[in-house]
Amino acid sequence: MPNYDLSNYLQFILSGLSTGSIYVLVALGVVTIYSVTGIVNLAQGEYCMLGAMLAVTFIRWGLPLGLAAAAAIIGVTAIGVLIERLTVQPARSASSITLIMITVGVSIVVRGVALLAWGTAPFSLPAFTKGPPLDVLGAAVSLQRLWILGTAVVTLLLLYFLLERTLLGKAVRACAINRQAAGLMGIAASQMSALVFALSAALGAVGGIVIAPLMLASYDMGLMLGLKGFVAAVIGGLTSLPGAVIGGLLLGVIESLGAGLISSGFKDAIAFLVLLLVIFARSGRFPNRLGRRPARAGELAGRGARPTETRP
Amino acid sequence: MLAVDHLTQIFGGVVALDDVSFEVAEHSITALVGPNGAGKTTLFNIVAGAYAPTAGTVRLAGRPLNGLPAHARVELGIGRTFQNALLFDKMTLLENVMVGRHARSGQGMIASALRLPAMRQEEERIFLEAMRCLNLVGLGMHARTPAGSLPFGQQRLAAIARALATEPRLLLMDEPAAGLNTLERQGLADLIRTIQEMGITVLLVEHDMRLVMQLAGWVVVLDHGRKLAEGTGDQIRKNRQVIAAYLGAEAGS
Amino acid sequence: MSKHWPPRRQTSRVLETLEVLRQNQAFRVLETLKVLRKVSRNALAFLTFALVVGTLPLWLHSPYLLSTAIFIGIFTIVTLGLCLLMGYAGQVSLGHAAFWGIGAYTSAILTVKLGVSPWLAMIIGVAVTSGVAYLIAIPIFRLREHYLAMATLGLGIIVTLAFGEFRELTGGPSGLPGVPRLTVGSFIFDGDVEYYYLVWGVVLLLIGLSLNIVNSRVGRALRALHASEAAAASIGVDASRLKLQVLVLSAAYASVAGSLYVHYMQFVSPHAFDFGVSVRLVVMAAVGGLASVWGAPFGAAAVMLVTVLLREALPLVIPNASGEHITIFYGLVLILIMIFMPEGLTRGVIESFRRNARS
Repeated sequence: MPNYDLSNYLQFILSGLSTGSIYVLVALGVVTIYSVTGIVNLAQGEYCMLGAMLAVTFIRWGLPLGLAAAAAIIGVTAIGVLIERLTVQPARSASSITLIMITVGVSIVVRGVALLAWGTAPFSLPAFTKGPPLDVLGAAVSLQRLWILGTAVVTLLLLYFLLERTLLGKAVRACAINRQAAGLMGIAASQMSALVFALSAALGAVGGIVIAPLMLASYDMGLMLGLKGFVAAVIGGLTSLPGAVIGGLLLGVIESLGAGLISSGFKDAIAFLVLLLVIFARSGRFPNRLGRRPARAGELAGRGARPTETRP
Repeated sequence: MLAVDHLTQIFGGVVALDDVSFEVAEHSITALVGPNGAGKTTLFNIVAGAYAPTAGTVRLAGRPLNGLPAHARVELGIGRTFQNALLFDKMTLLENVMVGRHARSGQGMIASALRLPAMRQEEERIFLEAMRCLNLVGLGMHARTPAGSLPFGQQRLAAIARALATEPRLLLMDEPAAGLNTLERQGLADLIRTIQEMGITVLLVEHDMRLVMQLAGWVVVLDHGRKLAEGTGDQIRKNRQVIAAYLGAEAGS
Repeated sequence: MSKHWPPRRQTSRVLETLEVLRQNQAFRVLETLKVLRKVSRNALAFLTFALVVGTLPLWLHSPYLLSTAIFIGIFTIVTLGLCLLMGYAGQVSLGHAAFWGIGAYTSAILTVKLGVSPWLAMIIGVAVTSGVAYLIAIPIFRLREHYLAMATLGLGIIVTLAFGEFRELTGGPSGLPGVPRLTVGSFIFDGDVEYYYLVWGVVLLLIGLSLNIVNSRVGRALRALHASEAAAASIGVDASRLKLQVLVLSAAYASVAGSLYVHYMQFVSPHAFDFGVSVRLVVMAAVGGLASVWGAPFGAAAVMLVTVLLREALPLVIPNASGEHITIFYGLVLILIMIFMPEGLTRGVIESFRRNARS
């Protein structure tokens, strides 16, 4: 292990926090979709990619950064709803594994279309504010990283406001807690489904746009981002939004420290090792429960139950 | 045979079972009755091992069952039927009942892949015993019919045959008479008595009070998760609290 | 059954039972005849298949197609295990190429670096792969099915990375060349024709074994599990243990396929086992039919042949067409199959024929 001092560690941690913020945004999308619809959306990362690529394209067409970003977010949100209508709605009563495979198929198709539209060469997005990195206690923090952290915080606040203070947000939360009861209260399941996909797409797009200046946007940037954000959601428990935040930040920091201290070649593997560890740890807490669990998100709608299984 | 001790189950904020205790005597037919929502199916699920209770213990012939998963309880001798049969729709009746022999047979994947002689012999035994169970409930001639295509009453019987194939010491029957007509109910009563004669203890949840009075040697009444009363059929029929609970909830019977 | 059977008490009951058993005898004879018919139907299918497969090289004159047929065979072996896992145990493996890769690399490393006999290396490969599958499976199967999907996804990525990173052992990203051929005595499986028969011989063997499993106590329990896990548990089926066994079995199949693969290619590299390959395996299983043993060879063949066809034909229609187009195509195929025929394409098509025939 090379000889590091405090400023190095700080560097790792800060850069880990900013990458982690992206994972947070992806994880929030995963959790939102899972809590309300019971679907494990493995295509989440593609929204990040689309956000970044669309922003790049709009800037090339001459739009200023702010407008391009906004247009990209709106565009990706629309795509998210489209995907939901075309692929999820027709299969909404299918089994869990069928839906997982559909999302895998979606991610392949989206990636492929992006490849056709933009080619393999990566694009760069200009940093939001030009300037040299800041010096924080000896660690160099690029301005873009501050933008990432800031954007994440603002997004979280907006999300909080949406979920806690607006009627629509409360409807979403109701659905997440008990879909059947929410339906009886007049909340349409399919509308909620479209809404959470739109929300998750927007979150992903924001993440993609804000990390693009650091990471270089290319057609396959979504795969790893999506999977890692997904791991972050699992760390947090798949149904908990605060959990997603903690999971994302934790994963970012662990990954950064691991890459710096142990090996950078294995950087990508770290996230998945964490995933395996979390899954194994979690299984210890689950006694053998079959078919009957206290009503958990998505379950009452029959998601995940085998079609022939009915509840007495 | 079965001892339920201070069983409590809380789901989120709902108290489904509140300190319920009673015993089921060996070789008896005991009925668990009560208005809808009294917690009867919850109790069944806990005894069968679908989930662990919030508090309390369940003992089978003195042996505590806490923590044992459902399939292990079958090996110990707990069998159950569900309200809606839950047959394996696409498999034939015979195959359904043959699966019931799973816990009483042991040839594994490798022996099956190679079709070793021991495996073939066991398959033969499984086939025979499954047919016996089917014949016992009178469905022998439908052995090769897909389970999903049978009328409801026969599906019920098939489910009972399947549970019998597990060689239970205690059979939990969840509303076996629901949806059956009078003739079928009579056949069911005969079947349950036959099962008792086979040495199997029966604990049944039932709403049909006439059937309960006919069959049950002992009745336990639940209401809103609490045990209201227990006794012989006659005692329960005359119990004021029970009458009040039932008249308060539903008329008739 | 002897303890409670026949039921005690009145004589009339005993007589009743005897009568029932006697009727049973007649029924049994009829049933045995029917079973024989069914067994012979399966045997007939098997023989026909074996015949077609056995005579294929005789009229297949293109060496390219023969080589493709060998790959189809190898893919079939992996898909077979995947079909059992996805169709019967109801689990998704999004990293099955990892098991294939572990078998492949174990064979390659042992034969190249340690001079171990290829057959022994194959057996060791199966042991290692099964061990990995077992370790993952123990905690997983108590959880919901999407956890296995995640775990296999993670495993797939870690394994692919490991293949690339441990350079001394695996040759790194550029791979490990010089893998020897399989030999039996002095006979070397060198030419394509010999290798074809070797691979498809293994395929037939594994199909036979798989059919035996499906038509046995274990197979029935698996089908029961697939239909209703709650009901299966209520009659004593240990779901977690069965799923674990199926996962280990499917990993073992994949490992064998991996060993056959490296001894054919005489080379191994990490790229042959990445996430994209895992997805393609899932598509093969989906096309062939998830809970169908016979579906596996058809799924593998269909996907491979369509790939070959597209590779040739697509550039004529869309200039500059590339592998990516094909990948998109498979993504769409997967989505469509999962939406409209979740039990798999072959099954879905057969069902719709049956429905049309009836009406």
